[in-house]
Amino acid sequence: MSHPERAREFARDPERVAWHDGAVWSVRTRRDAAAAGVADWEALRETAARIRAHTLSRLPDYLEQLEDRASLVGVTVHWAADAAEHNEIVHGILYDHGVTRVVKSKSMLTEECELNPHLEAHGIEVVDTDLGERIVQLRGEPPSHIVMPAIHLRREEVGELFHQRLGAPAGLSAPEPLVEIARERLRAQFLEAQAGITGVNFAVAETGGLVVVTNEGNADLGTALPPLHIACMGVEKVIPRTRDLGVFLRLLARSATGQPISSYTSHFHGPRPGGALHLVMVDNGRSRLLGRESLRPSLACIRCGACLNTCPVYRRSGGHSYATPVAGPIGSVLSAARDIEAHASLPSACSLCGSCAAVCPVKIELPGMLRTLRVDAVAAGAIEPGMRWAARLGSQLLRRPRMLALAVRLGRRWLPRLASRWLADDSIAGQRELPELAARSFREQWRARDAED
Amino acid sequence: MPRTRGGSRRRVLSALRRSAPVPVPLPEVTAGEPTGGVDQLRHWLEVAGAQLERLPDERALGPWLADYPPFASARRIVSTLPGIPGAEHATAAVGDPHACADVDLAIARGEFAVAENGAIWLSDAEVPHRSLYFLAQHLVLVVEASEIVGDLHAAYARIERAPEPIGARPWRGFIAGPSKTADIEQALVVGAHGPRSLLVALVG
Repeated sequence: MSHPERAREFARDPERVAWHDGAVWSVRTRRDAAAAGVADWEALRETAARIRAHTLSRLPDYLEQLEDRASLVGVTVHWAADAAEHNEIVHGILYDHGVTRVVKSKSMLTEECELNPHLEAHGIEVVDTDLGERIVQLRGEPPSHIVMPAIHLRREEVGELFHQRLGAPAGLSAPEPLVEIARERLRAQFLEAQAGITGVNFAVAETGGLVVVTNEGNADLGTALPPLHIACMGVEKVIPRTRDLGVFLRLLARSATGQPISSYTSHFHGPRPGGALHLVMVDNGRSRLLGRESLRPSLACIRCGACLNTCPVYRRSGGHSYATPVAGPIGSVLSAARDIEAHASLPSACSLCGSCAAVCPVKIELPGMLRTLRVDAVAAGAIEPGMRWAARLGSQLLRRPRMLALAVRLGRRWLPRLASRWLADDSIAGQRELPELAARSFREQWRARDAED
Repeated sequence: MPRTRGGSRRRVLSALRRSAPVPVPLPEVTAGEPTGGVDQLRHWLEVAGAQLERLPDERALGPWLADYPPFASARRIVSTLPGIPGAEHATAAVGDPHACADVDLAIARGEFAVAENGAIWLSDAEVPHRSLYFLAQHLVLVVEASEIVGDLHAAYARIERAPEPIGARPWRGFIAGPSKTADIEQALVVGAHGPRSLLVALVG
């Protein structure tokens, strides 16, 4: 299935689309207010982008330094070339510690590697502890947003889910009692867990420190209580210095939710007393991405989700329409760069409006990358026949001025009528309207101008 | 069982080296605003759903707490500060972090506050276990009024200059409000898994 087909599924419920659009957009407006409150915001973005570019230019050196320093504070460091190896390593550590109950805080890397099914197949119970992730886990769904995993669901659906799965009274939909029910359940699961798995927001090369950010405190409970902490990170998460955290943390929460900082920012240097800390550093295609100059800056992403919140396509098609671990503009780039044939429709889902690049805290030029990936899709022969023919037709027309003039004349007559039929369907295009055509075409206006001279 | 560590380490590093772009310089980072105001700190704590209270000194905390609802209703109170009536004075580290599971109110010292976002910097050095910060139903952090920096740049500059290196403790962190979530329809709910409230007592 392609993105338009999956988007059509989401668009079947216009009320949900309108709600989703509004809810996600409200996060974008909160981000704007937060950014406006920082005097040197643009300089901060520029510095962040340059720190990332520098780090990516010396990535192996920083990873070796990180390994060295983390080892000094008692962290066991593992390297994984791909997702399968990552999953084997994590399972191996859990197996060595005799673990059958794990609490996990949000980690897009473990989503990318599909760690949960791997561990479950080995008889290990994995409880996602971010509330949004727990909700989608109980529904058997992937997250639809990297920061707000259950943003596609209404409160009534969460109430019904908790009624069926957590013994909540029927008909409950107010967020407060629902959160309270989840709190009681999850606190018990934190206390019973034998291991905690977390992602890593930033790894500091010069100290071996691992920084994890949450609002709920779930990563903190999940690592303070069980004796075993496994932290999983993509190799791009390393930054050189402690002071660089000031730059990235000032940008992260403001870009993600509009908060000046998240409630909890933990800096781990080694295991908790009497415990063990394992760090798994994963490549899984990142070295290949590093080698592609035009796509390389996508490795600078700090997973704030701002590009999702601002994207007109994401807001109206929902995160599941991307069918990728990370949805939206950045997810389209990362997944299409990894496997263009499997994700050929994603670069074309973009309208190239440029809004994502305007809000990105590390200044990733996402629209340009999506355009590059369209070329990849064509080169791989992975685009739909209709698109291919439309592109060929366009290319022929643009090379023949008279044909183009004829096409414009016909188009001006027929387009409004055809568009009203094309756009009146149940796809996301159905949410759009054709703008008014100008009274006269550009050629007609140009000729009139010449005549006046 | 995991494959041998050495093999993948070499593989990943050499793949990254093969793809490595031309080196570009590391930019310097601003030192930030070394001092911050109480009003700004209070504003951001309140935005985060926390509360700030000014007290003349640490000894004033005990009497003040008598009228603080989470204190008044608490059965088990653990404090790293001495002299809080009705509180266990936590001094020694405990082996089992689960021992903090039934703590209703925890009182501990923060090292400094950050005015631009309401964050309090603290470590696991004085608490019996860091789980106390996250398991307690309510949290009180005590910070010296003279220890407020303006922004996170200044915060990390201070952390880098501190006599004890950041890596000397297994855990240090910023706490900038109570535990909260907006995962159900973007409705903000305070008290997700951890503390339902945060009081910052600014002393001196």
